[in-house]
Amino acid sequence: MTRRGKAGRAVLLAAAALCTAGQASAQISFANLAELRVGEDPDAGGLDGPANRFSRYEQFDFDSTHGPLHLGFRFESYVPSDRSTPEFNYDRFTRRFATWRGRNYAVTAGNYEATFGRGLVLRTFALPGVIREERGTPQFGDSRDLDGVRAEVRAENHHGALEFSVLQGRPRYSDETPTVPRSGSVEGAAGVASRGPARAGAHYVRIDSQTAASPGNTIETGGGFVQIGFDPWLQRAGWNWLSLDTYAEAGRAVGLGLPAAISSEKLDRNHGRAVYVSQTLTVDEVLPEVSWGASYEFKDYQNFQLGVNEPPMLVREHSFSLLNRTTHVVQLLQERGHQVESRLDWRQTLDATVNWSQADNRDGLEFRETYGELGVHWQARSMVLFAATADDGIESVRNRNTLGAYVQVPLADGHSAELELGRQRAERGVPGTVSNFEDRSFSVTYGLAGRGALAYVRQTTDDPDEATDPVTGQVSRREYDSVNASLTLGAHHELAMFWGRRRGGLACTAGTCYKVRPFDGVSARLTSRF
Amino acid sequence: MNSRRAGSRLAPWLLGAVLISTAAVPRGSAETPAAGGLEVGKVSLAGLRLQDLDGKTVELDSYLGKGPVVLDFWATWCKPCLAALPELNVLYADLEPRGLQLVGLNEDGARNAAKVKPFVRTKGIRFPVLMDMNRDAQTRLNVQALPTTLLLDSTGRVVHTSFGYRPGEIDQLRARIEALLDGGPKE
Repeated sequence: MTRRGKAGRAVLLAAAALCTAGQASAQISFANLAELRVGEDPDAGGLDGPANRFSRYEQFDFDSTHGPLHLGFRFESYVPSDRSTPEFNYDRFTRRFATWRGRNYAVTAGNYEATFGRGLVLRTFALPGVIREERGTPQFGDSRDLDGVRAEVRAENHHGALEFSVLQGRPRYSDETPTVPRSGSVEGAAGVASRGPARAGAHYVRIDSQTAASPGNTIETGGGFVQIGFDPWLQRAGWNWLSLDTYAEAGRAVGLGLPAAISSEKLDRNHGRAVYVSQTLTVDEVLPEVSWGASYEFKDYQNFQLGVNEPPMLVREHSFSLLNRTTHVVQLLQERGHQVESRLDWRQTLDATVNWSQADNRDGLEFRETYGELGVHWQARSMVLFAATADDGIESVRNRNTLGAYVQVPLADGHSAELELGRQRAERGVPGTVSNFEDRSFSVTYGLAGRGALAYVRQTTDDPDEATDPVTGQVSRREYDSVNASLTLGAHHELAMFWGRRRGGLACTAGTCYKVRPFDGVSARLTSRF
Repeated sequence: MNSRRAGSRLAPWLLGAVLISTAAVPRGSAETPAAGGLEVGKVSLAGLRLQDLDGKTVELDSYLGKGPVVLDFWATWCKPCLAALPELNVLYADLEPRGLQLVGLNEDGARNAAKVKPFVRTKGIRFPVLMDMNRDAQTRLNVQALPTTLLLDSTGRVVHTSFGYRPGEIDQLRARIEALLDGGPKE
C-alpha cells in the first residue's frame, strides 16, 4: 500500500471510530455520484485514444462532524472497458481532510479550498457535480484544491472583526486528473479587517510553480482589497430607495520568468499585475413600480496566470445553450476590459437586461459582446427573448449574432412544458480564409413537479472547426439529437439519463469553463445524498 | 491495474456505503431525530461564514434552532433557479411569521458577484441572500447541481430535497414546511 493509501485509510478508520464511539452524537452525511456510459466519441478517429466510451465512474463523498472535529473524504473510481489504456483505470481517495474548529479558530489538515479576496492572487475550488474528461484523460471530479495545512483565527467585538489565515499546500492545477501527482507548492497569508459593511484586506502568496508557463520558478505575489457597502449610511440619510457598493482589488507578482512569446506586451516577463474594480447601483423606484439596477466592472490582468488563481472574468455567463458554449475565455496573460450590466424590472412581471462587455488582448485582438434580454413572467409562466452580437479575436470569430427564445408554461396538476430555440450565425477564420457558419438549437421539455422531466434536444452546426471531414476537407452540417430524462427517486436519489449524440466543445459551470468531449450513446447518472 | 481489479477494490466501498445507509438511517429518520450516536443526514453548518449582500459576515448555523430552515442554492445564470425565486419569495412572505427561515445561497462566485445585488433588489427578493463565494456551503452540503433546495428541521436534519425546479415544486415544499410547523419536532 502506498503512503497516500495508508493516510486515506487512517482518516477513514478515524472517521468510523468517531462515528460509532459511545453515546456522543456524530453528524454524518454522504453522497454518491455514479455514471455509466455505453457509446463512443464520434470524433476520436483513433488519434487521441480509443473511440470506445464504455465506462463506469463513481464519486463517493463522506462528511462527519463530531463536536469540534470535522472529517471527510472523497473516493473516486473510473473503470473504462478498454484495456489498451490501463493508466486510465484508477480508484483512490482524491480528497481527505480533518478540521478542528474552536470558537475563534480553525485548523485544517488535508485537502481544502481557499480564496483570498475575489481570487486575483489565490483561488482554489471545486465544481460539485461536474465530471471532467478530455481526450487523453480519464473521467474525474473537477477539484482544484490544496493539499496541506491551513490555520484561521478570528477576533471580533462590537467595533468589528479581524481575521487572519495562513496556509501551505500542494496544488492540483486546473485540468489535472487525480492520476497526475501533485507538483509545486503554495504558501500564503491573509488578513482582513471588517467594520460594519466595510472590509479591507491584504494577502501574500509564494508559489513554487510547476505550471507550463513558469516551471521551476518561485513566484511571489501580494495584494489587497477594499469593499464598502454604502447602504447603512444611505438608510440613515433616509435614502432607502438607493443602494451602492464598491469593491476594488489589486495584486502584483514577481519572479514569473515567462517565455517572451507569451508574456504580456505591456510588462516585462518577470512581473505581473492585476486590477479589478466593481461598482453596483440600485434604485428601487426609478419610475412608479419600476426598479433599476446596474453594475460596472473593470479588469486589467497582465502576466497574471499563476496556476492557483482565478480572477473575475467580466464576461456575461449565459443561461442559453448556444451562448454558453461560445463564451470568451479570459486571457490572464494579457487582458484589459470592462463590463456593464443594466436591469429594469416592472412589478416582477416584466424585466429587461442589457449587458456590454469588452476586452483587449495581445496582438491587437479584441473581444466585445452586447447582449439583450426581455422577459415576461406571470403565474409561474415565463417567456424570454434574447439577442447577442459579438466578436472574439482570440477565437477568430467575428459578427457572431445570436437570437433565441425560451418559454415555460405550467399545465394542470404539476405538469409543465418548456421550449428553447436559438440560432447563431458567425464568421470564423483570419482574413483570406473566413467561413460563415450557423448553429441551431432546439429543445422541448415536459416536467412533472417532484418527479422529473423528459426533454428532446437538437443542435446542428456547420462550424468548420467541428464539421470538416478530415479526409475530404468538405464541410457538412452535423446534427446532434438526444433524449434526456431526469427522475427524482424518493428524497435522496436523482437519476439522469441521456440517449443520443452530444456535441463536444466548451461548457461553463458557475463561472468556470472547460471542454467536454462529444459523445454518441447512452449514459445514466445516479446522484444520491444522505 | 486492470478493470477487474479496480472493480474488486471498489466493491467494499459500495458495500460500506450501503451498510451505512441501511443501518443508520432508521436511527435518525426525518420525523424522529436520534437522541445520540450516529445521525445520518444531519448536516453541520458550523464554521460556514458567508457574506450577505451588504458585505456583513453571517454564520450559517445561526439560522438553526429557530424553526424549519430552507436553503436554496441558486445562481443568476441558472434558468430554473430564477423561475423558482418568485415562488420562494411568496413562500417566505407567508411562512416567515410562523417561524420559517429561508436563505438563498448564491453560487455565482466572483465571476458574477457584482450582478447579484442589483438582481436581487430589482427582483424584489425579500429573504436573506448569502454569497457562497467559493462554494464552501455547496461543497459541505454535497449539493451537486443547481437549483437544489434543502429543507432542514430545526435540529439541522435534511427532511426534504428538491433537485431542479419545475412549476409546482414549491407547493410540495410548502406542504412539508407546513407539516413541520404544525406537527413536526418541537422547535
